[in-house]
Amino acid sequence: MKNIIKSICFLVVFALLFLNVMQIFSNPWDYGEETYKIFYNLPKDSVDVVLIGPSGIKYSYLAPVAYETSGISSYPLANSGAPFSSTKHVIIEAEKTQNPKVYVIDLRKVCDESESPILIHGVADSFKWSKNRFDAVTTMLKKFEGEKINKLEYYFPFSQNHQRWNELSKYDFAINENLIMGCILQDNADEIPALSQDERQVSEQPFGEYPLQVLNDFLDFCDTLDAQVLFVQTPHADAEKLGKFRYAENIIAARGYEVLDANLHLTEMNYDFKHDNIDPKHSSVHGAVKYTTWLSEKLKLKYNLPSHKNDEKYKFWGSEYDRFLKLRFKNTNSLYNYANIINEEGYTYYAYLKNDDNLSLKQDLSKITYQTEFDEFYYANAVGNQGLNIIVVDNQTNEILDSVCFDVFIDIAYATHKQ
Amino acid sequence: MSVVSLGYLIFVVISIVLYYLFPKKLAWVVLMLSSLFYIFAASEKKFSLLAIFLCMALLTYISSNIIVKIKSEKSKTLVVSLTIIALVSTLIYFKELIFFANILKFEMPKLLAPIGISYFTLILIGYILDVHWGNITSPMKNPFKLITFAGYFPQITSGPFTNYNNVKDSIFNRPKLELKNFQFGIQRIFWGFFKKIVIADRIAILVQSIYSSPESAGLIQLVGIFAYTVQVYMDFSGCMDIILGISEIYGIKLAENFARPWASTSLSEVWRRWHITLGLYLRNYVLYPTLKSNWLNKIRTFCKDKFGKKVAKDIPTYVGMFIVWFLVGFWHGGSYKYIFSSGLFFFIMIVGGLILEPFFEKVIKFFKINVECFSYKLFQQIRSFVLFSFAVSFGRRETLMQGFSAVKSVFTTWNPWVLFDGSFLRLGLDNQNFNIVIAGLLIVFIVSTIQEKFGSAREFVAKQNLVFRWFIYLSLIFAVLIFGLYGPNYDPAKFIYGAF
Repeated sequence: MKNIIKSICFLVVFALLFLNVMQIFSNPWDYGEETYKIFYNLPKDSVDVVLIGPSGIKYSYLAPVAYETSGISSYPLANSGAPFSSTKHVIIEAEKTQNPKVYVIDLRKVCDESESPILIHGVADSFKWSKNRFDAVTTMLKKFEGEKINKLEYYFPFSQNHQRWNELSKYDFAINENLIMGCILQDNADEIPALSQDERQVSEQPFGEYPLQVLNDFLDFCDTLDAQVLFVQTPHADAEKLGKFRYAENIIAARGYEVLDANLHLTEMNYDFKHDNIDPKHSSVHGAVKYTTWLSEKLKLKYNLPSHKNDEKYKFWGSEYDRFLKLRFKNTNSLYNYANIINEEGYTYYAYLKNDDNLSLKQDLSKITYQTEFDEFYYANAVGNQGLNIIVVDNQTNEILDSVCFDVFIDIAYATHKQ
Repeated sequence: MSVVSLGYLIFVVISIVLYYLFPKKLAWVVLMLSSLFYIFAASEKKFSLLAIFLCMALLTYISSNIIVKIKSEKSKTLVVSLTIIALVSTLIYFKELIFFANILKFEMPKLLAPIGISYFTLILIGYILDVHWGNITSPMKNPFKLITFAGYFPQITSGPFTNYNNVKDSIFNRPKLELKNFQFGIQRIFWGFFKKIVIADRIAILVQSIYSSPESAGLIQLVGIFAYTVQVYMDFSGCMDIILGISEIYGIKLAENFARPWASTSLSEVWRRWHITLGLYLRNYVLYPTLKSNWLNKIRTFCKDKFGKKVAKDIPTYVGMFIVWFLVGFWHGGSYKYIFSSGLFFFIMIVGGLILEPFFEKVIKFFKINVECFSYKLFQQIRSFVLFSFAVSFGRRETLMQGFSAVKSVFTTWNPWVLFDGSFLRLGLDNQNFNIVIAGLLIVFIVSTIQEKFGSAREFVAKQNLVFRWFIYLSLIFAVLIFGLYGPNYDPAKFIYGAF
């Protein structure tokens, strides 16, 4: 008997260790698992809006900004590349700990017919171990019926993930500090071409049988939900799929659900593709602020959502907003956006132009007041590279929020942030 | 169905659960059904291949029951001989036909052999010979029991060769369910996995890279030769650990096949510690009967008359050894490279050593070499390893001649700089994977040392305090789970000896 108890204890210790090891080794697929980990830890029944979709949501929606501007509690449960067929299971997963009033579903992957099975990992591996996780894998694998793939690895991803032993980093052991409530902060110094409103006027283009079936199944599922469902399109310039999006929008509208296409309201939200996107499909941190502010106001009004500002239960959203304000600088890589933040929001900053080789300026520095003489503060705190060195300081605490250098002597002013 | 595949492990778990759920009297039926299912599933799901095994077992069953009934020795010998001829012919047809196809220049038909034919054929031959010689007093009356014994699925892919008398009590009378059997069995399975998928399969990448590159020469080729030997050892002994571990859970103790061969001080000792059951099998069923045979007695008499007593004693022994080593090589594969690498090379070295023994003794005496000290033993161990490695490497080549040219390149290419210029890191294993291999070999060395000193490493660990014990067990399990080469993008390499 004693030996049997010992053996059971051993198995329990092993299981606990194994669960942790599996988590450490899980693939850092655009922080999918971390996104869910934060979500699971939110106070029960505290989230009013859950946004679901692929990377379009992940890069464009900042829940703390929505909380700060409109007081609503929201969370983006998004996974990069998430197949549309996974949406139902994400909702089931969300309802395990929350009772949202609204689900916002991004349409980016609704017509995707060239999905790779590898994308299944992005969603399923983020879930806790449960029946829903297995069901999600089964649902997503349906697309690959008849294909020769090793299905077992999608149910038990450790069989693949253990091969990461030689690439583990500190982010496999702790949540990445650059992730703000499931949103990835990014910025790009390049300018992104936009689509004109004329280019966006396309006629509908039907898509294949499988994505159509998936969409109809999901709409059937939506009919069973207590919560409201809103379909959206985040800002993008994916010209190829516009016709298919129209097709999906018409089907959804015919079933009585509303579709909100942010791309038709870019002027309203002051969204500038050139500087607010990191690529044609994803918003930068600056675009995310604009989109989130606009969308959260719409959601609040449309669904009469309460403001949770100053409510103790929602302090996490507030503290994440404070963290966002600090991290935003470190994740801003375009001089244009950097100058906009410090000017529009009145931050104290010290700017010095360092030019050892008498190079000519390639960037417009009119928005920045800078010096060319360096003092002790510069030597102690600046990046010190050739270019425009900026040190941003918190107005109240005098804490240095960021120290960055933009190489303003080349066409695209790349940023080097001090670590 | 590879022994390291998930499918095999699930199959084993189901079989073990059923084995202990069935009434004790019928537990062996689960073993039989499991074995038949395994042979069927692993033989491309072809009933015809399963039928071949069943026919061979049935033939052996009938013959063994006939010979105990007939009184005439001549008739007995005739029945046994015919049975053995039938069994051996089937084995040769399925496994070694290519050897004759190459000699007689006929087109090799496309053949698919039942899984484990090399093993269960020899087990059946051993069984009928034991019945014939009276080692088994009463042959099995139930043909299904013979099927269970000969087809016992853990052993038929890579051995060990099992003697009926050693397992009859446990295989047909399920032993009491003991937790220790489970614990020790699982420990051994994980140890086998550690050797196979953490060490052997990593070394296999290096070996494949060296053996497949025509530019590999000199020191790189030498490292490849040694690495292949270590790979084969880790692969084969790891496989044995898994098989013996599984069998331990069934409560059936199979014979050990390895006893730390690298501690051997001579080639003949290596073969007493390497694939032990094959050596014992050939000694009992080939060498001894050959030495007692009439034709060899005639040679012995002839030699005695012509050359004296010593030659009359030695020549028949050498003839017997030649037959044994030829069969060892032939059994490994129907080609000259195997006959040389796993057979005749050792015959030449061992017999050469015996013939030259007086000369070596004189050399030792003349130079006053201390043969009792550690350094001499170390020299002997290294010598055995080097000779064994060179021999075994021929089996890894495409042809025998390729083996000779590779060995030649070791001695004719001078490139010591490859040790320092990172050449080895360009052969498929990066620095981190090399570290895993080195750490793994170090652990195997420590365990082997414990085994040499204390007998059983598992008993040694079991005597330690709980925290240390669990630390060891958990470290082993997680080493396999994390560092093992398995999962997608990885084709689970079959065990090298599974091919023989």
